[in-house]
Amino acid sequence: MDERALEFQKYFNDENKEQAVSYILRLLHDKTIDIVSLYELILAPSLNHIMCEHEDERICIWKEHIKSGIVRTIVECAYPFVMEERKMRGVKSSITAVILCPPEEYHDIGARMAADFFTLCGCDAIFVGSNTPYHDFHHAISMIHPDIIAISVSDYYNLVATKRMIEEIRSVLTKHCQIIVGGCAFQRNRQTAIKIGADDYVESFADIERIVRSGVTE
Amino acid sequence: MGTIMELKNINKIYGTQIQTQVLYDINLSFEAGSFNSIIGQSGSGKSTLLNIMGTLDRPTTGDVFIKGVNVNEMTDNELADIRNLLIGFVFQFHYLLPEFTAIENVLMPYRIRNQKVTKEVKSKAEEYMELVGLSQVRNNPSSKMSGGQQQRTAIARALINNPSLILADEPTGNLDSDSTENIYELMRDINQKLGTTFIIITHDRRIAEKADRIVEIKDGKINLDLTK
Ligand SMILES: Nc1ncnc2c1ncn2[C@@H]1O[C@H](COP(=O)(O)OP(=O)(O)O)[C@@H](O)[C@H]1O
Ligand SMILES: [Mg+2]
Repeated sequence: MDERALEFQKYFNDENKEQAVSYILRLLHDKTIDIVSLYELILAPSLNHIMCEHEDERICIWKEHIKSGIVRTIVECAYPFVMEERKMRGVKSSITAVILCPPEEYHDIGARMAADFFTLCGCDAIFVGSNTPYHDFHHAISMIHPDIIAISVSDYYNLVATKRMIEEIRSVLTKHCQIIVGGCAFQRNRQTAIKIGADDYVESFADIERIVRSGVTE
Repeated sequence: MGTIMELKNINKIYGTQIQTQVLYDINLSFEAGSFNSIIGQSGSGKSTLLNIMGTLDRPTTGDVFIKGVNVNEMTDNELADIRNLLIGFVFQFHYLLPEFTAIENVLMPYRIRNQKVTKEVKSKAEEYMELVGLSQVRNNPSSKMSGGQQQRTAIARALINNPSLILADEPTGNLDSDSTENIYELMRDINQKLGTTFIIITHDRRIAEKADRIVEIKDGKINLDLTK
């Protein structure tokens, strides 16, 4: 495991928000970590493998909320570094990407990280977020004219609503737009992405970069 | 573990003068020991499908295989055995007999079949009352129990003949949210302890999201079939 990840884990497992946040911010300031590594090597694995030794499931859920709160704070604080890194990368794309979650999906940090990845790829990334009243979004599609719509799903039950959402979005799209999906709900079964009508499945920065690049040449 | 229930090209048309097709060419199979949910809007054909699986209703065309045997090729006696021994039913309305105690209700399916209740069966009923958390109130009249207790009694009743499969049609449709959670935990517990297969129609996302599989029916067709 990455050394930095190990150090972060110490604070994270203790639910020590102050130490966890300041440790990561120090890494970002010192440029000893970049955004992609931070999200892929440290934050995403920490979120996906939240340890809970408690027998009581309710206490675990409560602890999970505290821990995801730590990650959320870090991701929000990282935004200036995201912009800085985009500048350094020097990539510019004409692509507009909208990132959202299906109705009643309350886990939106993955979507938030994905939005930053689109930003890093030079896209105009619009984070619509979690539990979106997507009928409103639906109306906004004709204004936004997205090239990519990325939907993040954590809870597998929400795939039912995601399928419906994709059908509805497609019915109002007037120009070519790729609908891509990602998130924990697909982890054990990637074919589900196609089953619910998505064009593609992404799970890493490299996947997003590939999709953005192929969009540019189209 | 093998397939316990298989539906092949099931179509269901109600009515003769005015015909309404409610199921279209359904193909589905369920593994023994699995915990499944069926969801879908009201009127989409879920209950019709479950009743066909439970041999309470017949498809217009198509075949139902239970443990590999085609229901169409079964005699009436064999069908009665399937309904009594292999399958347990739980409905939204529990249909307990109000003039009997909880445990008498649990024993009813056994009594209907065998008349005399043996000591072994009596103790099995006690065991199931314990499993569903009702040993304290087992001798209360069923009409004096809360909705959640009545539904748990109905689940114990569905278990009494040791069915391999429990078909439940909105078992928590009538319950508050705490009782719903309890009923879910109970069914999951039975699934794990006894290996009973569950196929549960539900509107409740807390049940559906915890099932190993979600089948969504829409306008009489399978719209989505998800495995965790
Ligand atoms: N015995 C019947 N005769 C005629 N139509 C029926 C009968 N039972 C159900 N239906 C119709 O079949 C459709 C599906 O019903 P049902 O299986 O009960 O749906 P669900 O359980 O998903 O609400 C509905 O339109 C219903 O009105
Ligand atoms: Mg019904």
